[in-house]
Amino acid sequence: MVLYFPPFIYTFFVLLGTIITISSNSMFGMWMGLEINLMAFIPMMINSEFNKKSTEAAIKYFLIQALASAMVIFGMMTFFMFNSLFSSAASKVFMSIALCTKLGMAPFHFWFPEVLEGLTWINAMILLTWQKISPLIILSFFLLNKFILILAVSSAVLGAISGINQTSVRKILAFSSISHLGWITTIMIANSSLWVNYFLIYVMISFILCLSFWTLNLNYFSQLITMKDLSKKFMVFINLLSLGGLPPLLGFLPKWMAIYILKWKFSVLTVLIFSSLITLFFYTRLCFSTFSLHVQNNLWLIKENNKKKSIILSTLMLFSVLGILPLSLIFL
Amino acid sequence: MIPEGSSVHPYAHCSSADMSLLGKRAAAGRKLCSLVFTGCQEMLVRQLRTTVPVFKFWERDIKAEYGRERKTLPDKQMVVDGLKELKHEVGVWKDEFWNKFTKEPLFLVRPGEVDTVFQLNSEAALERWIVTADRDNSDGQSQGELVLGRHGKAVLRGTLDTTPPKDGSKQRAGYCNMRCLRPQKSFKRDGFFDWSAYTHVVLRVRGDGRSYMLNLASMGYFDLMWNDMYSFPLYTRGGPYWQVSRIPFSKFFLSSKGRIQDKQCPLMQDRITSIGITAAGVSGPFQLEIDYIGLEMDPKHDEEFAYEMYKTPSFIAGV
Repeated sequence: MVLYFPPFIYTFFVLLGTIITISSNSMFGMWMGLEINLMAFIPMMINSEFNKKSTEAAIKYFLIQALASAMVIFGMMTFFMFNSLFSSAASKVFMSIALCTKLGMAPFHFWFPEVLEGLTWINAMILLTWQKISPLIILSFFLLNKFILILAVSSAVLGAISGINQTSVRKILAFSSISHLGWITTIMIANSSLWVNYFLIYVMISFILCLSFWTLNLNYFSQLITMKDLSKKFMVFINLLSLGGLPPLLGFLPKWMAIYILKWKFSVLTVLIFSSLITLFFYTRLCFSTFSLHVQNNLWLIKENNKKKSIILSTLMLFSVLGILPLSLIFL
Repeated sequence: MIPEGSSVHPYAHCSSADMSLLGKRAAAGRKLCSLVFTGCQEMLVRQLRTTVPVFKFWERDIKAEYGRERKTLPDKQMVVDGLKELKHEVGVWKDEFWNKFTKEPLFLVRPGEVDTVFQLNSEAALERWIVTADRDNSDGQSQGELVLGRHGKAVLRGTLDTTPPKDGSKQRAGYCNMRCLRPQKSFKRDGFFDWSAYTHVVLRVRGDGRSYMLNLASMGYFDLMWNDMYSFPLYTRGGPYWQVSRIPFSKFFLSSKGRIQDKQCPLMQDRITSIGITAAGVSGPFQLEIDYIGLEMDPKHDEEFAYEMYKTPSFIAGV
């Protein structure tokens, strides 16, 4: 179908929606921004690829997000029921559930991997990063500590366990996103402003990973094994381990911050660390298989020589490896 | 007032201008009546259509027109059967759980090797296949069966009859189809075949010279996509020698309920629900011996999709 609006208009409205949400004075303005964001993101998903998969993903995304938006506005209306603002716990529960559905936090996360599976890499990047900003900011206003803690811990654990036997790259990113959201909301409960730093570093790592998968045209890990170029494999794995939170890499910094913040909630911290250990286990197993499984006949291996791509990816990888030193001085 | 029984024209009291206006109105009225009458005639004639009209906004049942009222067992029997199945399903779930944590997924698929998915050489293997022909749905006279042949391999054989049934409900007839059951996870959850690591479907068959249709059903989530089928012809030689057909996934084209779609897109290899072979088109006996159905990964195969989509103006290409 010929559509007359270029993708720039959709991007503009996606940005506008989030900015309206963040900067509105009333709850109604916030909801309006969420809706604008949703409505503009859906044509972005459909237009990029004329594929059954992306259409199905777009329909699923629309249904889930529309339901969540309806719950948001319903929750907002219940705030005014008892003649006072922000006093009712039930209203906060409603809002939290709706916003967790929007974010893709457990136990409302089942749509997230399937939807991410059907998107192009740019849209996947937007869904993983930008689309999370407005719900997280609203969640930080309507926080109900004990309830959100349950959701956060279950996100971290479920994200880790579900990611164990996945071969698709996008699904791995989806489950790691669910897991990281658990960490972010736990920090939100303990300290109200440092979750933004965690989120920013997570955005950076996601961006690097999505860019590398896009340039290397990777959708499944089995494709990585038949790649001859060791440096490309190395780049992907450094970034993936950084996502998992392995110490000298950039991805460890937000977890380090979280450990400082959650010093007094040791039980929660233990559960979160164990869940990230599970994801790290899977990434290292993948790493091991990729570097050690050898394909015998070298004639069949596809060789790609693109210097520009390699330069960009290498600089980003360097940032991923060495970034922790300057950033830890700023943040910690 | 015109007295009764007089022979004066009913409109004698009207002027000539009035008469012409009346004449025009009458003519318009007559035209309208004739239009309505011919419309009614057409409607009556159109009732005798030969294809099933679809006036539905959404499809409630997967079986659609072919759904049948099935007998239900008494409640107590259903509960007892359910408990037995529950025990089996819990066992399957335990295995799944254990495999998830102890076993690795298949990362490396060796290029050039064929991984067999279906080895059709025993009765147990044949139980996973469903054979349907015209006769089963009162659609015609064709019949077919899948049995173990003389050489220990599965044989799909029968006769096709392309004469449509006499009640005029169908315009074309004559098919026989074999389809494998959809993979199921524990507790009867629907699964998919995940063939994303492969590039070709490989079949070792011995046919009778007919062209069969190889179908890969990839049932979608929503009712519009329930009947999505990717197909490609399986050409057979008919000789006494076995043939190995290697068909790449990129060659399969999208069709739904037998109609090839205008908007084509490549097959999603990790969302395949079943594989099937159809014999149709030409009346007469058919016989297809199948040894195995397998998958191969060819790293040199770089075709993503064999059919180009040109940008057409709106509403031309059915989208």
